[in-house]
Amino acid sequence: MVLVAVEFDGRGVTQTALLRAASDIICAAADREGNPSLGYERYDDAPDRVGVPIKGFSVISKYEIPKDQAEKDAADAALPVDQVPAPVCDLSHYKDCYEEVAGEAMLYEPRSVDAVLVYDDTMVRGGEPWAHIGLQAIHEKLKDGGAIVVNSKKDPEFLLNFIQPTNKRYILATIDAEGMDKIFVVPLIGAMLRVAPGIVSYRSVIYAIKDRYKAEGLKKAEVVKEAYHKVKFIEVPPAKGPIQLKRRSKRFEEFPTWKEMPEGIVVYAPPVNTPNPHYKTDTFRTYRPVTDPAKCNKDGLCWLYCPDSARSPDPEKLFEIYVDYCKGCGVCAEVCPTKAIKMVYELDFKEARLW
Amino acid sequence: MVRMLTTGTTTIATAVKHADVDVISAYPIRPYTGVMNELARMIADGELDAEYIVCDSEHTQFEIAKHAAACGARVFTGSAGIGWAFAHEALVVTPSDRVPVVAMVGNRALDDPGNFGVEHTDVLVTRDLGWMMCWPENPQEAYDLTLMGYKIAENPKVLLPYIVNCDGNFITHVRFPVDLPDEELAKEFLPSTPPPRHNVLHPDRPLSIAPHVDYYWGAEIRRQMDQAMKNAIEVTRKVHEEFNKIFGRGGPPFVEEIYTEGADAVLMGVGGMAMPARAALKQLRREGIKVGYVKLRRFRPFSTEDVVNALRKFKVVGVLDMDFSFGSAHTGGIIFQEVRSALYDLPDRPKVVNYIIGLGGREITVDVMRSLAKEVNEIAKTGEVKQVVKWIGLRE
Amino acid sequence: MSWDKIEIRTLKDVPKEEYFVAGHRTCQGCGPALACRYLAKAGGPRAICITATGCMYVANCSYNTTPWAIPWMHAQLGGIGSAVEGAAAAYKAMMRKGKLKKEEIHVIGLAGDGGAADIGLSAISGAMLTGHDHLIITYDNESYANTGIQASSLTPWGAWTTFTPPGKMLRLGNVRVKKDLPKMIAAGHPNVRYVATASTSFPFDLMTKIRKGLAVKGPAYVQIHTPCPKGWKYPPELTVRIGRLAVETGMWALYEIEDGQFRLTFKPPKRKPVAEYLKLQGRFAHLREPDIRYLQEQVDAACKQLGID
Repeated sequence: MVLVAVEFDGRGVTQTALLRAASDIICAAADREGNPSLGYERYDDAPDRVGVPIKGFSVISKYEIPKDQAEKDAADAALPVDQVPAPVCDLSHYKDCYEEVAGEAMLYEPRSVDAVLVYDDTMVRGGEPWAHIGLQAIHEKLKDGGAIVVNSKKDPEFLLNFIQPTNKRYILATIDAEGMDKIFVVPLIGAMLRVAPGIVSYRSVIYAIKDRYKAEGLKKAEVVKEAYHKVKFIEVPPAKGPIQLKRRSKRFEEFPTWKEMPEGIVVYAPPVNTPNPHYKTDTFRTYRPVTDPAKCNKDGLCWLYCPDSARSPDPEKLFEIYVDYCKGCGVCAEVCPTKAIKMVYELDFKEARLW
Repeated sequence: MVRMLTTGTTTIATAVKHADVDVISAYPIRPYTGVMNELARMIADGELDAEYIVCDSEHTQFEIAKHAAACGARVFTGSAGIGWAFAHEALVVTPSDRVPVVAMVGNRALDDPGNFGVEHTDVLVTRDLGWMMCWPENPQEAYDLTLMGYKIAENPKVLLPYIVNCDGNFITHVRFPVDLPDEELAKEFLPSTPPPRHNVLHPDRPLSIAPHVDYYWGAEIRRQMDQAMKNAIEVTRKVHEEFNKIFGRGGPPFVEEIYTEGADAVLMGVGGMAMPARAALKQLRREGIKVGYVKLRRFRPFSTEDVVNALRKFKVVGVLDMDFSFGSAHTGGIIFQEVRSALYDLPDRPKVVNYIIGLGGREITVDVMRSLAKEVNEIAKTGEVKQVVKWIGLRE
Repeated sequence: MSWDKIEIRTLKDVPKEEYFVAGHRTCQGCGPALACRYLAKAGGPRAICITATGCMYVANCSYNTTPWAIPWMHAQLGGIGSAVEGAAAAYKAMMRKGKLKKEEIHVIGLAGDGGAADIGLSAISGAMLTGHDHLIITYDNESYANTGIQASSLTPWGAWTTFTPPGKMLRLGNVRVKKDLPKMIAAGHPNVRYVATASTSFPFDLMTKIRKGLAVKGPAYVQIHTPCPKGWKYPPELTVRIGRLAVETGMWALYEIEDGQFRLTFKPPKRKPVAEYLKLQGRFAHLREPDIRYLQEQVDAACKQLGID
């Protein structure tokens, strides 16, 4: 019996439905092979907020992963999509497999995952979904040898600059999924089939997609095929030596004990003007506001209208943003009468890396 | 000291006055209303200085009490029956917010519309929330347990809300002879200002109380409340000692044994039913039948130690429940379940039977108590239990 | 009062201090978060804020951290009126009895539209009847947003919510007309000396109204229109623009009722068609031409009644 899992990393509200979609496609593909699965979105992400990093999962139990799965998939991927043979639904180990996967049902996140699909490439920096969790690295739950597949126009080598070093070996892949299909999880899954074979087979995904998208099924299946061939990837070796990180996720043992917590659910307030040191909200951000000093008339509207109190009140500093807190909503750029503020893609900043 | 003929609602109101309470939130429901009438009169007559808020619901009452207490005020509120049920949403967070609210519940039947007779189920549906609960036997004890309540609830090692239960009509409405102490003596026991604590809402010490909590914290918060309840046992003992020293009365903190000397069997219960029990057992004793009564004064915290030590020496315990838990183990009363469970680990444990009595406010006579006493005595002799749970005074 | 003046006319009058600091889990472009920031600025360091269950509870304060630099506490949903009543009464009694140093502590209650207009007006009506000093603020984002966008009694006609989805049979979405809560409070509680409406897109007006509400003796009520990118389905950068359009089209009016005297605090010079407001929001995307015309007529009538036109 083998447990395999896929993690989907997206942004709250705008991509919530796409967490479900990807999970449904992968679970439906597993189902076609006779493998029981669980699909869910992380419970404590709800209520999701616009921009907050959120996660979804598919967990599949199967009797075994065929050793030649990659070759079989490659052979299928060479065929025109309408000629890919149907997957065989083998139910001979179903009960055993069901008990294995159901054993994982009382969790909010799988214990480990084989692949991570990243919906927004700025999220490779990691995510801080809640205050007390800390920064979760994009490969936090990834098994050694697993794959990270990113929806990005960039090359894997470029994105690697923003990913925390780890002792794990993994494959980092990119595909311009959004450029290929509006429902970009379809090409993302196609890319995953290539770099993380064995989770579900190529042919079962093709059939699951055809079924799901009905009239558009064949077209979407073509997208899967295209992504399978187009994906760019590199193998990332494990980091050498000890790893120093300035931000990381908190381990269960690091949380205060019941004796250490103030009684009555009390939290002592931060000092006035001091951003909450326990919760940085920069991982909400895809675009960063940048003020052009030549255009800025110092009217302070950007400071006044910032919903996150994330700007300095100092006109001499052009009301600079608190870079650890700005969520990149773009309100400041919108309200600026002189159009002095541009929203700039986060990964254009070298210091965007969070480690 | 003043000798008076008065009701439980009045003695509780007097205790509240002696506690120099700051905020009172009121809404009417029989049978507790009298306490609020009396407090309103005291304020109108200048006997007590407090903010008296006429509320638009029980939910409002308890939400007001919680927040006033969170701001450091000493508060009093109360309700009964379905009113108490309506307050439930506010009741659930008061213990976890750790604010020392003191409330009176005039026990009243819950489920039958308009049935205002006493039944203890109203408060017992709240037994698992973290409210402390006690039952006075008479108006005199109602005063004592209320005044002690502030001292226990406000202890920084406890900080849990506290309920004084009163049997509807029998204790809330019947005038008894009582001794009410002078205010100075009460103040000696309970100063006007509660001891300082960390969780007070005030601009001098900004803090956030009760932010959103998820599964990373839930167990630890529950464990803190568990510890507070455990601490309350020791704190209650000390408070009783102090009370007894100052007032020269007050009784034991958890369990009072009545006519138990030489008895093999006892009845056990909470609240006013101890009164007919006393009379019945005294009569029987004169007739040569020795049966005792064990009065459970406090149900939360439930002092397993005190209960076990009191009951272990008997062969039979007949628990009298003025409440019922439908479909429960042996389909019996709530206090029965708990007493029986407390005794389970004894190597030589008494037999525990259950009598469902007084539901809907039905009268409890000395004769009924006599017959129940004889019945448990018979079980002690024969060792034979015919029926674990028995309904008393039911038309069949 | 802990501030030197009530009126906030320019940016210079706005306190630089942040009492609702960065580091909370609200949406990008969250209108209610802006309301929190403004109310904390206006209230200042001698204010306390009690918040009923809703987005501004769950999103702001997750245990072990808080963005509130002033004292803050949670109130149960349906209990905001009671909560501020309890706090105000506590301070009043303790100060009168010498148990607490005498000073003015501003008690602010904050609830969402669901947490104010529903559950029997969330005990606000009761709190308005007493003489206690407090200010109840509703951040009106026109739905139960925290639970994933369900209709409240302040959801406008024609809006999509997950409880009022437009479908093949029921085309319109929400067909209930938005409850007029500020008017209810003003009309039903003649003792209340200050009732006002505000918008996060008009921050000077908003902060002035909060200070007026706090300065007036007895209870006061301010309802703030707060655009919600999640529930209204628009890109987060448009929060301020949409809030402004609501006022410019007449979908939301800015007024105050001071000692019974009604006064518009902002009158759009030339009212824009409601379609300009609706078309930016996904929650109204299903409305057709005649529906929009109907809504326009309703808004026109309301504006006439308010004296906007």
